[in-house]
Amino acid sequence: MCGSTTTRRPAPTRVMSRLVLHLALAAYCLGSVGAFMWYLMTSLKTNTEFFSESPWALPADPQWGNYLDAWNSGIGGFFFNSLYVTVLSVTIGLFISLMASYALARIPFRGSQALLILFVVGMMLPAFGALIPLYLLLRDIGLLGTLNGLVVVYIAVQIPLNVFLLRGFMVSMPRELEEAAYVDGASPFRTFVSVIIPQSMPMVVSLAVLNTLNIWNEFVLALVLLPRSESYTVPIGLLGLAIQAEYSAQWVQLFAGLILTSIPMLVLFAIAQERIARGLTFGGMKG
Amino acid sequence: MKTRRYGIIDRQKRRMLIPFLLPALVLYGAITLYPGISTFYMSVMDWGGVGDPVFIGLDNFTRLVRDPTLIKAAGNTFFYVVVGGFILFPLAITFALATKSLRRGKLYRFLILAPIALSVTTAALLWKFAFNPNFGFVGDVFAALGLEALSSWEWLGEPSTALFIVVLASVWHGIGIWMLFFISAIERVPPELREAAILDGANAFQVFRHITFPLIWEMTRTLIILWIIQASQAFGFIIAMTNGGPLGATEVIGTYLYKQAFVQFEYGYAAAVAIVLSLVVVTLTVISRRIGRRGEGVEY
Repeated sequence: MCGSTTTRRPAPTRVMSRLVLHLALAAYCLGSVGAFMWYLMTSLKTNTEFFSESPWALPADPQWGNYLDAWNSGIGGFFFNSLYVTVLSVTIGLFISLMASYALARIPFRGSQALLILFVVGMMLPAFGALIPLYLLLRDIGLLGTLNGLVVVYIAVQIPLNVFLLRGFMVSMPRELEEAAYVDGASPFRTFVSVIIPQSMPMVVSLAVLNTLNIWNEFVLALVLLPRSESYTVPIGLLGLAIQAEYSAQWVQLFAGLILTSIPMLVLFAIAQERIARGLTFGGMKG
Repeated sequence: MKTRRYGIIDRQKRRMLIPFLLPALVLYGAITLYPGISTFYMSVMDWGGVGDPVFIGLDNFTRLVRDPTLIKAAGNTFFYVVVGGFILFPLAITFALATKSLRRGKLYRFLILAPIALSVTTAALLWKFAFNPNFGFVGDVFAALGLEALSSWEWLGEPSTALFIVVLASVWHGIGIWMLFFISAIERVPPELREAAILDGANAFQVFRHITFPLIWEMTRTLIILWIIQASQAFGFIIAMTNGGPLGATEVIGTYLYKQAFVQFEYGYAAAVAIVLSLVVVTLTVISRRIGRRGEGVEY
């Protein structure tokens, strides 16, 4: 595309404006990468180096032990809490959403449209609108401060967007395979598991990636619903450690922890960039 | 028509209706709808979480229009929305156009989007520490540029700059998504139009001004409302970077609501704040959907 336009107008102003754009973008990206490199280098320094040397000085002797210290300072626990919460809520959330989407997309019944609208309304409600009663509800049923309580909440908050997108996907799926399964005498549940779910896989994988990213990094609900440090997930745990660092001065360990806990999602992002990009354009639109 | 043709199958399928819908409906109802509705109930109560709530009518709402801290928080939220928007939109449109037309565009796009993989906490702390005058690198950058006065400035410790830095950090974190929105909007502009304009001798800026921009304007309006919705609920970056300080300079509606509810235990009053915030957000969402639907076959 750039070829066709440049051949038409090889004017020097065009070359100049391209150069300016390149420089501006490169500067911006360099800023981002530089900031992250600073994180990375700091995570390998000693606390004395961190305060005495220039921020750009390379670590004299890379302190890989910082990562071990970070892991043992609580981040290991936060990591497994996040893993538990993310895996459970993403898989269960997707399965429940698949079932509901199937009912809404492929079973004709009165009120199907109204139910869909009810789910779509959920995409509009801001988290703050439900936060306080949700906190009290979990407190009353004894799930406040437990990982399982957070799992239940995370499953629920994913449902509207998942149902909205999965239903849309299922409506446009060809009917032949499903009908063939019924003609062969398969039960509706059997058909759902062996025909509908495999056919929905492209959308399921995109949503799984997007949900994983969202839940691994979720902040507001975890902050409110997990008041005790032993059940912290990574984002809240890191915040706690950052506040502690003001007193303990264990800065480099904190930096190591921040890097360490970013790795899973950075890897996921590098692998599934296109899917995340597509999912975010949908997910962001929910408002 | 279809129901008649596949009558038996549909009857068989309809038996699955309740078991298939129930889990989603129960969870959604209990975790989203029920709390959403009870916020209304709580907003007309005086309640600290223990004992019985006392009905006080609209007192919570009359209190919030006279609460100076809340008014300041609303002003800060407004700053967040406006200043953030003025930084976000020009930058996101530029990124979208530039990464589409330049070589290496894909690499830039990857790097611009990458921060979204970091959690709010990590991204917020990254810039909080970077702007720290004692050990951050931003001060050294200013020193290297010869701006000594700025090199020791307490960016997040001074009320005059703290909110601006928080806005910058959160724009940095999320801008990739907005760039993607604009890329998909620009891709809907028929290339013939742009090529015709170029043949007529229009330069890049004229093409953008007279062809691309008018055609993405509908979508841009929707995105602006989407930004207002998001920014009016700003929370994570503020909690992680400044926790509302210094001297309330970065307190926004979200953080104020959170503190009223979970630090002061003023559930009724916090619920009233939540209702006002939610009404604003829901109204804007409905408006954005209206606009979005009017746009030429825009798909979400």
